[in-house]
Amino acid sequence: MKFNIDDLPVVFPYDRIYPEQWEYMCDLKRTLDASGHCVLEMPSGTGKTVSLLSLIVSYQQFYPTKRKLIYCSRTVPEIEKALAELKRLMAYRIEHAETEEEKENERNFTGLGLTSRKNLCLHPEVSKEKKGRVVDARCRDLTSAAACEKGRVNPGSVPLCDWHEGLNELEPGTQLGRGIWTLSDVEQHGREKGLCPYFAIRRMMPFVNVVIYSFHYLLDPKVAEQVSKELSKDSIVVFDEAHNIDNVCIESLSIDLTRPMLDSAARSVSRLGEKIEEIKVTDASKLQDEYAKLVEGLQEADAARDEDAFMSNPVLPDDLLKEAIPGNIRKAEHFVAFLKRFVEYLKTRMRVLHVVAETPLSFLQHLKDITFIERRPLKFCAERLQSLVRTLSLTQLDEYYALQKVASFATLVATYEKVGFLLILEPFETESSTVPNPIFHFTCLDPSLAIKPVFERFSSVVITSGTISPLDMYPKMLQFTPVVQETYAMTLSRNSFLPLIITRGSDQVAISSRFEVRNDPAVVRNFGSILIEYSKIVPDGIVAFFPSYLYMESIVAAWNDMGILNEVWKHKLIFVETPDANETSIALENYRRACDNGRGAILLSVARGKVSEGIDFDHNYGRAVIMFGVPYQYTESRILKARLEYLRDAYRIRESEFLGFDAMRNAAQCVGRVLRGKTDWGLMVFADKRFARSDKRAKLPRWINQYITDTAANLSTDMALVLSKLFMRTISQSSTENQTGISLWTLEDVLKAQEKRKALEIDMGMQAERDEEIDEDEYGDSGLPDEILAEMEVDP
Amino acid sequence: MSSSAWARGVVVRKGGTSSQLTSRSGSAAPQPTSTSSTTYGGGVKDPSGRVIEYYAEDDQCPVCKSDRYLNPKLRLLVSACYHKMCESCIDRLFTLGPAPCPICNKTLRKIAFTPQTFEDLGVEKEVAVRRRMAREFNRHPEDFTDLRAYNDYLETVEDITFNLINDVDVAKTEARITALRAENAALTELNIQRDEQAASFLRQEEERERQEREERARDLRRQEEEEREEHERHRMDIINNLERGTGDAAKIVAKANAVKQKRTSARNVSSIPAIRQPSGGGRPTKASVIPDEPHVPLTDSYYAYEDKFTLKSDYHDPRSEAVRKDRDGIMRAGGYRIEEAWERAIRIAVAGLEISPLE
Repeated sequence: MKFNIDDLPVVFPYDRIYPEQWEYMCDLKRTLDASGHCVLEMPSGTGKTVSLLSLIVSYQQFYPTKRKLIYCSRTVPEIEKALAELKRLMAYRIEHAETEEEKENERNFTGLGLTSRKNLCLHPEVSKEKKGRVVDARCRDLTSAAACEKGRVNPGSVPLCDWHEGLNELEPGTQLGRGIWTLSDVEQHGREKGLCPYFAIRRMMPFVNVVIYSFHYLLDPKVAEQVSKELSKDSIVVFDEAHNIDNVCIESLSIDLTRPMLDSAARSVSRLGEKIEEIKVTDASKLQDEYAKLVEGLQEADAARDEDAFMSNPVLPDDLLKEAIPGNIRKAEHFVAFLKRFVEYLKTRMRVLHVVAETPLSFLQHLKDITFIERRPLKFCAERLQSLVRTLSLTQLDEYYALQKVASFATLVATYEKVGFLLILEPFETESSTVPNPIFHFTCLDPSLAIKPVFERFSSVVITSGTISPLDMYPKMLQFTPVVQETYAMTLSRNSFLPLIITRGSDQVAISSRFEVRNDPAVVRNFGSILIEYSKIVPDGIVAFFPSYLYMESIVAAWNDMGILNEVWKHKLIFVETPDANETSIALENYRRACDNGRGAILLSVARGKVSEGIDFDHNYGRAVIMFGVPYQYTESRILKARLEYLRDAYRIRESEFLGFDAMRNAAQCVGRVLRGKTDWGLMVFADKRFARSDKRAKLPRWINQYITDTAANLSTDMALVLSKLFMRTISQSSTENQTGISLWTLEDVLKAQEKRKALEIDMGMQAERDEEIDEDEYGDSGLPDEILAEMEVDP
Repeated sequence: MSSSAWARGVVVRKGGTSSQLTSRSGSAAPQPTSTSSTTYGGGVKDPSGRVIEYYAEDDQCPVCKSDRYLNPKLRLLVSACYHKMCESCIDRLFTLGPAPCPICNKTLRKIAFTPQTFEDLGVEKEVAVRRRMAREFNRHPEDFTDLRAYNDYLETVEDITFNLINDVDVAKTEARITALRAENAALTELNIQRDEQAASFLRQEEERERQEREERARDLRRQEEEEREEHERHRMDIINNLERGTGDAAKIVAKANAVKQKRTSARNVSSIPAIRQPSGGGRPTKASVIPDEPHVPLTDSYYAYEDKFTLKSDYHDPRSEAVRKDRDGIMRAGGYRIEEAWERAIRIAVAGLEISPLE
């Protein structure tokens, strides 16, 4: 269907559109027009991706500026899904273009996805490697500039990758044709033509209109510099599924070092030393050349950097890049001695048997006192190592992995010496263990540091997800000012999901996963009876989430002793998620099988686990999801504590506020797994009395919260069962009412809505509209029993 | 108190608030500790003040071959020639004064043994050399006209250090050090002062930051405490009103909540202080204490002074007649030369030393 938003003609690839999709597009357009950032929350399964793509592509095609779209998603399947969606959209656009010229224009629109070498490699040996790191290293051995040069001068002297070589005969920008290429398309193409998919995509990057890749390519400074450097300033950046974006930011600037890594780094250093001695005898001019280049400054070295550069420097300020490498690490042997000293120093730190927390500044001071290493050379450590590796044309770089880690550690410490970072040494893995296994954490406490370059560089950044409530938390944590900040309700012709909060068991004992009561037999029994009762009444699949693996283990053991599991087995099979990925995927496969053949199954899993993040339980795979307890983080973690303290100091976000926010976004993520589209239906059971508190409920996404009625907010198990049965009886009736016009719009409805909005704006002015919004916001939060409960009965 | 609380139906929290506070502060986030310092001569003093020495399970004394199995208290020390020995061997060999090292025959003293810091003894030696170099070559980038010159300087220093560490051309290198030192003595002295100043600034800054942090934590605790009390009071109010009240229960609660809402928002407005600005950190811009002017000894040559007169071989000087005529040299016994007296007199006259300063 085609319609206009303001003056922009939008092509939407389906005949019907959801009202929230239309609103979403309107707000998105507002953001793009203002060249600002926005935070948008839209329920899962209401076609977020397609609305995003269809609006932005329309925008790109209509305006002559041709802003590039950078779409970041979390996992490879999600990237593939988005690409497929884009392909469908473009096919529709080509089909419905009016003139031949327009058709041509649509055909020239190019979109690509990028993922790691491991997922794309075609080389018969390299692609067999299991670890991504090894694939990267072996690929570099075969494709680095030095190896290629040698191979071309003297064919057969060095092994080269035929697929990569095939690429060189093509003009830049023609490695792949125009149009949309999904990852599997590129791989297919590569197989047929004998081209390397990875490098084909990499070389096409400057010429495409849409790039879809993972968060890390933009946020992780170690990668971003390399992959995303040439993207222009006016690009539109979209972070989809961005509810965990702050954690991604923090991870990308944090490094952990362990004892074995240091040992391995020390070995690598001595190997580097030997290599230098060797090359001094055979080919001293190489080192001389490098030396001369370094004297001139980094700029030239930077220009020479090719795609084979194995690791990039963390965001160095621009003025630093222009500076030359400090004199005392200019010579190769000096640098090796420098690295050796630094590694030895870190080893001495690892010997301490008590927890140490210090600021980077004090770390640097101590380092200087003991080993006389100054800050400046430390800052250039990663850069210098990269240059040395290139000069020595080392192969099998995966063996130098630990050393690279140490070098980036050095660079990060020296670069971010100011606030927002902390070094924590934890000598023991757990409180009770006696054998030291020290880990040196360099942790970033401030997520805004990693994402700051993105906000500064790109004019429009869109942060969107199904569960991103409370919306104002994200701008606060990431330090940006959004133009639009909006959450959309789900329009439904009938309630297709039922959220319930169970606060006490049938025996009226309050249930909670609070630490003090979590192993109380009464609570465990009540949790168990919820599981039994729901296994009796819910068809097909049930997913149950626990706050942690530890708690799940203890509670399942207790259920076994109480005979609860035996009772559940009568109705459904039980599968358990474990920290092991393979085990979990087998469990999932069998769970799906049991759901499909009608036996029915229960999957016990963990919030923040693999299942809670990426896997959908649509339709019969998940008819009910039960949250046992509030999924708080492990609060004894020192890193978390440091982060909380930082948030409190710097941004005035209270500990309890942040922990509650984090727990609720994970809970929402978990229960959101069950509903993937408007034809789907399911139960959402929150089993903990703390969910009934108003501060917790307010943190749930609006589309869930609006359906929590006062009656459903404070239930005992048997009351919840009555409601659930009632709900299932109504939902199982085939829906007779026509959804069109209410939750599904045709073109006429869209036009009508636009008219209406315009009329509203003119007639009542902005004031009236604002009033309406306020009215809408007060969803189901009044009434005495609920209020009194929230305020009085529940402990603070 | 508690009995009356029960009577009123107040929930008495187990443990009370005070213990809660202590438990919180006990498990508080790791506090960044202050800048560390070093104990010179081996052993690293970590930020908490404890000295950590190198220690391994499979240590063995190379001299007496005793190991950790035979002697659980085995402690190996490092000699000035970077060889390890256990304490009892050191006692045995060096109690009677200097003796040769059993491994390399260099004469050693007991006092010169130090604890081991680094696993690699090469690094241990390197650090010792660098300690010396750091004292002598401490020029800052500000001392140079451009970065290139500074980098060249750094490289020169590194070359020298490298030679010393690897015992290459030691004599020549030492000569070079002496030459460089003579060239830059004043600057070196100045930079030592500067470094000290920077370090003290850093310490002050840290101290200040720590105090600030404590202050903030205290404030926050107090605030939370107040809030809790408020909450408690509010709850009591509602219950009392419901007990006494006559009107609709929902209305009473709604009214109380509205009042509370107003109070909370008022407090929030008043209690938000300015968000902390990350302090400049890093380079010291200015120290709070103005340090003494660094003492720089006269560096120009004493002999560079040129006399503006020429001394004649003989003067008409009746008063020194006796000295000149003393044939036995009794009066010149202490090396007295009459020429020196003349020279002094003439210099005083020519340089005008006896002219009294202008009024």
